[in-house]
Amino acid sequence: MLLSLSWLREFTPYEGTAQALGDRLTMLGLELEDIKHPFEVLKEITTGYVLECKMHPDSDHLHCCRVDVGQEALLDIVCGAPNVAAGQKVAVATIGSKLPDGTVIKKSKLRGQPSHGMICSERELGLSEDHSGIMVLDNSTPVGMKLQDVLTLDTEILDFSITPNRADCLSVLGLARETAMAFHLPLTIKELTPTYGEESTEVPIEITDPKLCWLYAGRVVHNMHLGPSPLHIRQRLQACGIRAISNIVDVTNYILLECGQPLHAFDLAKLNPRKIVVRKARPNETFVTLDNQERVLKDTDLCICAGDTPVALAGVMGGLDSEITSTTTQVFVESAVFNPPTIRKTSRRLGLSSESSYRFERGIDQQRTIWALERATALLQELGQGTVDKHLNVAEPNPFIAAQIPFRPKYANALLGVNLEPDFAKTVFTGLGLKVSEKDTSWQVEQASWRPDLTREADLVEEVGRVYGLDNIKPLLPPMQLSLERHDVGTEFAFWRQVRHWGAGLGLNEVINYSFVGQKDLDLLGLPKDVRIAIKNPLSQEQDVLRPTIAPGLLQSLRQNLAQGAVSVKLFELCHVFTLDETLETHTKETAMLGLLFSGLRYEPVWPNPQEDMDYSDIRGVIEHLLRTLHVEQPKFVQVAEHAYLSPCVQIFIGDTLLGHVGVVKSAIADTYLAHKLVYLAEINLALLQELAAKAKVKFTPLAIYPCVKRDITFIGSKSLQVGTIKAALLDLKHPLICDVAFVSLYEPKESTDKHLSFRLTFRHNQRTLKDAEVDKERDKVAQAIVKSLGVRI
Amino acid sequence: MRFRQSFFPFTEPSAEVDISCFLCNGAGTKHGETCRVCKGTGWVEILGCGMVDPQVFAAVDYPSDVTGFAFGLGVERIAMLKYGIGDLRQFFENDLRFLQQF
Repeated sequence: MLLSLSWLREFTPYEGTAQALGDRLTMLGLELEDIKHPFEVLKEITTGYVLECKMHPDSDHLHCCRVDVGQEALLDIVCGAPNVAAGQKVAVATIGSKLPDGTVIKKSKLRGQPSHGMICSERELGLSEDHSGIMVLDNSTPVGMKLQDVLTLDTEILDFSITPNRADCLSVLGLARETAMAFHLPLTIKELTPTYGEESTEVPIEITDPKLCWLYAGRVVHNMHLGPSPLHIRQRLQACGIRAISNIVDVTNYILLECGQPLHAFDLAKLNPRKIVVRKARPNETFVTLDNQERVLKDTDLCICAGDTPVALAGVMGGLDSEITSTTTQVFVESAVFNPPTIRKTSRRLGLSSESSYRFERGIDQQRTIWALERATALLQELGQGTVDKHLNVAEPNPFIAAQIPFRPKYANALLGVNLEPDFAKTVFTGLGLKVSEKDTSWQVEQASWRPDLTREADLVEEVGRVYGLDNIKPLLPPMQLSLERHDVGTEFAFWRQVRHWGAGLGLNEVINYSFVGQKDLDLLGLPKDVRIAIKNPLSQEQDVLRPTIAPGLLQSLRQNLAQGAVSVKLFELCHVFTLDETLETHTKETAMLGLLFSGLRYEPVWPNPQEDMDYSDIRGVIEHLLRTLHVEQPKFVQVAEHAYLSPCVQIFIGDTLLGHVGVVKSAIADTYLAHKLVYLAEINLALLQELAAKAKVKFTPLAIYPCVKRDITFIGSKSLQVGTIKAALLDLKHPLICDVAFVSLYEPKESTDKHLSFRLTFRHNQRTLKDAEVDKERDKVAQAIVKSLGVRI
Repeated sequence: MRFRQSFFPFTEPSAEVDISCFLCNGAGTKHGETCRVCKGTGWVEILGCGMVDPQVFAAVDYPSDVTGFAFGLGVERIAMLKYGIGDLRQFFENDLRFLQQF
């Protein structure tokens, strides 16, 4: 809300600065956003007197003028405006001064004639769109003054951010009321002394649904002369952010800003028949609004009709057919109050928000509606030489009824945590214009028509609190009972923190992505549609479904970093994923997950690090490391034939429990995320992992006293021979002396289909030192057993 | 720090809490220009709070003599203030150059 300080002063004699006013109102809940000086550039413009004006010798339209700007020497100025003439008072931009559009005036020559400045038009001064000629000032204007000082301009504008509950402050009057209350000043509302002509024009009003239109009033103004408004009206509207259009439209906007009542002006000649009907729109009824758009209406919209023909979309926008045009002479001015939610719905649905709809949505002071109409018609009379009709047309099926609100000073003190005298509350209420009847400890306060937000005791307590100043309430730390026990042990929160520290400690980077992803992302990953949970009112198409897997976010983070030139990406994320489950009350299964994504170089590309890409062993090693950190037993990795977005894909089992999977993102998908190197992705069920970690027990094994002996065996088999198969077979022997089996080397001869896999066995006896011969014998036995069971050679 | 009257649908009375601007130390200007963080006000909004609206308690069948306070602050906002991060979107982009600074 833009408030002009000089306009405010027409209602209350506030003498302080704009900043001081803004600061005080900010603490009262009306936040000052900015102070603007819309006509500051006019400080550089000087008033002048055209002493001489001759035609330019080499031009048929330029004039050579000699202008007095209060300096010793007269200025030679070449001017192209058709209306320039000797004896005029004009606005001059002298050498070095800057126009609103940024142009700096320089000394120049126009067709050989010197020009030491510029005589300005209204458009060049930023005062209007008028560029038909120069701006001619009043003859009494003194010469050599700053233009800003000789014109009556609204030079100080305060921009307030008004919270949705304070509809009353969307007007100069409302802000003046707050100012008067805050600074203990009187509030003066103009007394209207309307004069009416002889004509009495009845325009009957029929309201079909009183719940949707509480009050409708209108009056005719005859013999209007359409034209521009005078400068003081135009500049004021402009300073308050509204474009001046014509005297009729400007008056409706002026009154809207002044008292918060939106008005609408119809061309009376176009209201056929001459009868106003306020009714709901019929489904699929069409209507062309002022902006020349055809709107398809619904029965939740409210129409103002002439007879049965819609002429305006109530509270939102007028119709093209009844618009004020240059031929308009008779105006019907509407001042009404509509049901706020109706206006809000229509405005939202059609994407039409206007100064009017904004105020109707929040609530109108119904006891100001007729006053606003009277003020508007009087102003039309003044600006357009119109004659105001005698007859006031009004229908008020739903008059304002003030709420009677109970108020207990003691309760107010208790809720606010203060100790105020009851008199303070009384002063506040009176200052706000509320009527108070005191009855000992319980009062009755009557709501004011301009404060739809005050209906309950708590609302009144807030008024007392804000005027006292919430900042003045002494802070008090409430006593709380806390035990020294840790409350987070065993919680998901504590477990996640542990996993986060593990990941960060390993040098991985934790990412956090939105829980909302796009249906398109999931289609790309080839995920089934029937498990997805779509968002009803998505913010955008990129975020219209809950993530059923962690992959889309991680891949998005990968793309972001590859686009920034990252060469080594190691990410992890902890989150919840969501899938449809009809058996649950919420139909949504929420699972905690850990995601890992690796792609690119294994090490930072600096000396002496080798330049090599990460592979499966990296991500697998990290998973094993996590399980070891949590003391969970080591997993089994089992390759599966198919997965939606991983190929190859390996499932991770702890015993018989499927903990998650790990694999390489399919290349077609990786391509869309800009990845040119393999992308390794793992998804681990964190809830299951937490259970496993909670059950894990660390048991100490006494350190061996006797030394161990190591022996290597190399097995030879076909290319399809797997390390895991041999290792599992070796462990399955459960040899009492073998305490460790490690895979140490792989050799694949070039011109052969063979594969050589070497394992190192560690032998140890708990009670004595083993002899070499004894170990050799055991080694051979083991080797033979494997040869026999797996059909390999040694 | 200051408590400033405001509006939330679920608290009555409601307040915004402002802290003095970390960039200009509450002056509103920095190097002669309007401070870009507080836009010249010298204050930065940090959280909203208030006394729980009686209707909230009524909706969950609490007796009418129950009162309570409510407050909530955005962690990103606090981090922005603490580390001087200018753009909220950076929290959701997961750029390694951002992540590696913490």
